[in-house]
Amino acid sequence: MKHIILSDYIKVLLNSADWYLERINHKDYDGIDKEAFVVSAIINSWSALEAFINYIASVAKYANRLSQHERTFLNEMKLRIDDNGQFIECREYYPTATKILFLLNRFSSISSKNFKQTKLWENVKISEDLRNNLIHPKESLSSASLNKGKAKLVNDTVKEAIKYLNNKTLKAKSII
Amino acid sequence: MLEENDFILQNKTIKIDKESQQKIVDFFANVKTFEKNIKRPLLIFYDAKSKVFYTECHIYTEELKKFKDEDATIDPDYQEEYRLNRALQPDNPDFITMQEDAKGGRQFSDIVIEYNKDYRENKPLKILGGQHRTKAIEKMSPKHTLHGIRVYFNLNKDQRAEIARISNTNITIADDLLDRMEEQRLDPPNKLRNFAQKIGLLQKSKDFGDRKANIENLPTIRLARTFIVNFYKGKNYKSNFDDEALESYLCNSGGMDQEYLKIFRKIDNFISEKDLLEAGKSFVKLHKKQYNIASKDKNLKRIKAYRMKATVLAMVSSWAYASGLLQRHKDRLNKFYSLPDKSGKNDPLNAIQMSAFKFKGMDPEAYRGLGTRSDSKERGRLVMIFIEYSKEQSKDIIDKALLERAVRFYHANKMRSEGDKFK
Repeated sequence: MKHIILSDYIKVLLNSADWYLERINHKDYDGIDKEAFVVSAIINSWSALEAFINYIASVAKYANRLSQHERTFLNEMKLRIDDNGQFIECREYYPTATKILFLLNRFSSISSKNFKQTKLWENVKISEDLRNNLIHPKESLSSASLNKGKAKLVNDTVKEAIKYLNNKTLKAKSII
Repeated sequence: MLEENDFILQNKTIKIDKESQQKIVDFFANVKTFEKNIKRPLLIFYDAKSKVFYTECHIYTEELKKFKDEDATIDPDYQEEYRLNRALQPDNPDFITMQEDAKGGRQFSDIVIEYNKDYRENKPLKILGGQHRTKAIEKMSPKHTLHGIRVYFNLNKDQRAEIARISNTNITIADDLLDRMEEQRLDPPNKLRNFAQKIGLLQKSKDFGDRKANIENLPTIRLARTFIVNFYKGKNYKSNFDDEALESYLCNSGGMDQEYLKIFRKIDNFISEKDLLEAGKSFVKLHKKQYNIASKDKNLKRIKAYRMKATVLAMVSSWAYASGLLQRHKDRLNKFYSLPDKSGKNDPLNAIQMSAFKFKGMDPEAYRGLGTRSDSKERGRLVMIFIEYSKEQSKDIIDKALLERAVRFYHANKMRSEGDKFK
C-alpha cells in the first residue's frame, strides 16, 4: 500500500477546502448544498492546519535534549502514574490551539505570550470554535456559522497560520 | 596649428584632420596637464579601429574636478539628458575602498575622457569610463595628486559608443584568483600550498586553481582555507556536539577571509600540526576513493559531480568540521576516517543516494539533493550526517536511512536550539 506523505496530504486538504469555498455562492447551488460546502470548507481547512502541526511535530520530536513530557506531548501521549506507582504513557489528544502555542514556545523565537496578542491568534480561536461547533454539534446549530464569510475566515486563518508556523519553526520553503 | 615641440604624433605618416587638430590645440591651451607643466610634449596616438586620435597624459585632482563631466552622453545632439554611465554605486565595497585609497593619495590611471565642448562647455572633460574612480578622486583625493587620463578628440556618436563600450568592458577576475593573489602576499610564504601538497591535495610543484572550474581539477585556495578553518572550529568547540545543529563555515572568496587569517597567524606551520595533517590526508583519501570509484562505475561515471563529490565546498567544510569535532573521541574519529575503507567497492559518499535525497515538506521541488548547494542548512545537514556516521551503532556505510535520520536530527535540533535561544 502506498502511503500519502503528510506534507502532500496538507495540500490535498487545502485544495479540497478551496474547491468547496469557491462553490458556496455559485448560482447552481443553494440551500443545503451551500451549507454542505461551508461545512466541508471549514472542516477541510482546519484539518489542513492540524496536519501541518502534526508535520512540524513529526520533525521536532527528533530533537535532542527534550524533556520526557515534551516528547510525549509531541507524540500525542501523556505521562500518567499507574496503580503500581510507575509512570506510563497513554494516548492524549490536545487541542490544536494548544499545540500551536507549545510549538511556538518551544521551537521558535516567539513566546506564546506574545503570540496571544496577535490578530492571528484571535482568528485561530474563532476558527477553532467554528470547527468544533460543526464537528461536535449540540442540540441546535446556529445557522450564523454556516455562511461563506465564516468559511473564508477559517480558510484564510489556516493558510496564514501555516505560513506563520512554517516561517517561525521549520523555516522551510512554504508548503502552500 | 600644432607646434612640433608641443606634440609628438605616433606616426608622422598619419594625417590628422583639421577638427581633431583644433580640439587637441584647445585641450592643450585650456587644461593644465602635468606634461605641459614640465614642458614636455603630449603624445598623440591614433586608434586605427575606431579611427580616432587620443592622448595619454596626467592631470592634478583639482584640474580634473574643475573640468570633469560625469553625465556624458553618447548622443549630445538628440539625447543630451541621457547619460551613458551606469548609476553610481555608493555602497559598493570596491568604491568604498577606492575612496579610502584616494584619501591616502592613490594615483588613479586610465580614466577615459572625451574632450568635448559641444554641450556644458565649461565642463569639457566628459567621462566615458572610470566614473567611480573620478568620483572617488572628487570626494577624497588631495588636490595635488596626479592621475592618468586618456583623452579622445572629435568623436562622432558611433566612435563615442565604441570607446565607452571598450572602457566599460571588464573581464571579471575570478574570486579564486584574487584569493590566490592574497595568499601569495602572506608571510611566511607557501604555508597553505605546502600543506596542500603534503596531504596530497595538490601535486608537487602545482599551484591552486585560479577558478573553481579548471581543467586539471585543481583545488582552490578557498577550498583549502575552508578545510583548515573548519577543522579548528570543530576542534575548539567545547559543548556536546551530538545535541546540536552545527553548521560548518564557508570562507569568503575574493581576497582574504578574516577567520582564516586569524588561524594563519596563530599556527606557525600547518604541516607541523599532526592532527590537522592526519585530517588532511584522510580527506584526500576519501576524495581519491570517491573519484576513482565514480570514474569507473557505470552508474556514477556519467556525472562529473559524483566524482568530485568530496570537493564540493559544503562537503569539504562539513567534513573538516566533523573531523575537528571528533578529535576528542578517537574511536569515532577512526571510524569516520576509515569511511573510504569501510565503503568497500561502493563510492564512500554514496553520491546517488545523496543526489536523490529530498526531505518532503521541507525541501523545494527544485532541490537537487545533498551536497549540491552550499547554504548553511546544507552544511548543517552534512555535518550531522558525518557525526551520525561516526557513532558506533551506525552502519559502516552512508546509506539512505542514515541520511534521513541525520537530516531529521539536524532540523529538529535546529528548531529546538532556536527555542532555547529565546526562552
